[in-house]
Amino acid sequence: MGLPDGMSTRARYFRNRLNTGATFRTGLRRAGLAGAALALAALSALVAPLAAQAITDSRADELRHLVRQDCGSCHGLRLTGGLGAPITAEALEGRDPDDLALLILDGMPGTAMPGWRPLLEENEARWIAEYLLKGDQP
Amino acid sequence: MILRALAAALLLAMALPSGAEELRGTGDLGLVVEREAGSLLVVDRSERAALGRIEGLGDLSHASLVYAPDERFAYVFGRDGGLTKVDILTRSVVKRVVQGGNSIGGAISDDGRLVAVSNYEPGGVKVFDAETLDLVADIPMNSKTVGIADVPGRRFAVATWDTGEVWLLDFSAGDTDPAITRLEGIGANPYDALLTGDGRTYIVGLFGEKGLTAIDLWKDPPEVTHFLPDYGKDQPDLPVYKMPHLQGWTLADGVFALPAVGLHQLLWVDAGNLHEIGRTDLLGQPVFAVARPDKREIWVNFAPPDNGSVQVVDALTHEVTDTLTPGKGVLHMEFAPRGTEVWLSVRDENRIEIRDAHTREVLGEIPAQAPSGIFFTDRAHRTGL
Repeated sequence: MGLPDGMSTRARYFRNRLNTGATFRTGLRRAGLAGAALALAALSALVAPLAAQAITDSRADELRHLVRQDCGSCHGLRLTGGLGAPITAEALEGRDPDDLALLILDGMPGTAMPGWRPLLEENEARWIAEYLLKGDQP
Repeated sequence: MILRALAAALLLAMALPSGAEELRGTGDLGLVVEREAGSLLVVDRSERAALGRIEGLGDLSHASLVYAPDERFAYVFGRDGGLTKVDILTRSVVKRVVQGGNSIGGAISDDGRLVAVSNYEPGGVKVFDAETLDLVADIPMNSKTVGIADVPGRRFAVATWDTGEVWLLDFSAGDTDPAITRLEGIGANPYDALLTGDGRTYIVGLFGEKGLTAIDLWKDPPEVTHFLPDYGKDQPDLPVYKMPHLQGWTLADGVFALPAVGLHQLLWVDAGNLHEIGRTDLLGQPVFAVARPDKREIWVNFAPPDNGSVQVVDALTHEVTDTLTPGKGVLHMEFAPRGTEVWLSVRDENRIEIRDAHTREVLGEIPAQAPSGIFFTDRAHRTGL
């Protein structure tokens, strides 16, 4: 499964930096500022990998809860699939964690998978991607 | 004489259900799904208390259940494909079959004899004898199925997510080989459906396109009408972090109140001509929009990140009259049959909150493990649940 809209990973990555930290509603309003922020965003993207900032233990607990409960709404509490595809470690084997993180952040247009950018920072999406790939969920 | 008394006592003892220490009715009981633990909490509305647990039901994420007509047995549909028959008096599993890889819901026929299960994996519908859980009919549909409902006349209606169809399965002639009516072109990606309480109108929510589809089951052949084709067309779709559920969509005073998809709104639709008559702005993506049984108010809960709140909407003015914050992760609301109180599952706080449905005052709470669906036994006698 590739990226949904054919945009290159890098281009999406740059675009993704623009809204980092914005809530969804302010994110919408900020879209107009995208051009002005582009240079800065591109620069920071080059030096900061998705997982740059460490996730605190308490936030990790929240993210585990989110995966189980909120991802679980469609993918099943045990991630074995439902309306959404299975996202167990076996099902995701071989997938690139950065691609998965982007898929989590931007969703899959044309499917029921929403973009989680309004609710997650990029390093958090990357943490979730690695967490899923590791497959040690309860 | 003594012998006769002994024999009578023995007979009486044998007549009692094992484990049901004293005679009692079940009309004020209910079941709460504890999805993490794979268990059901048996609750008593009159006591506002839990009576005990039924355990060993497998993966209960997105679990739902229906009641047998006697309000004693319930059929639980689990995410792992399990169909479990439980006895709420003895609080035990009567029988459990794993009938599919991944199921999403089910329905019980109007005569209580057949239980139909809707499957994501392998898709289609399987129908079981309600007494024995023996498979009586297997209807593959080459699609995930959603929104299964019990239609009067020993029928079931179900929508297909992948192929955009509605199938009517008619078991009036017998338990096997139902007469099938297949309605094509219902719309892209039906995500859920509901049947009105009179069993006449089956409404299908569409994720893949704007609008909804209504099917008039009183007409022969059933009449298909696409409605609200333009809702949200001029607005950007907001992300949907949890799909709305259509059960509990309400028909109050000839008006449907429907949760929008991708919009933070409740849509009001004239049930007669299916025209939109108004909208109410809400604080988030609605999941359940449930009418209090007197239909005077609609209570709405929300998808993440707004799932700590509940809004109350007036059916006459269409205005939000109250925004409540019961706690983190309000997954479901169930009203007492005559609308005196409402029970809310607050998943992340491991409790059920009980409120007066008129004053909204908190009346009590019951500890429960990550509770989701709450099901009172009066559902046994309502069509389309």
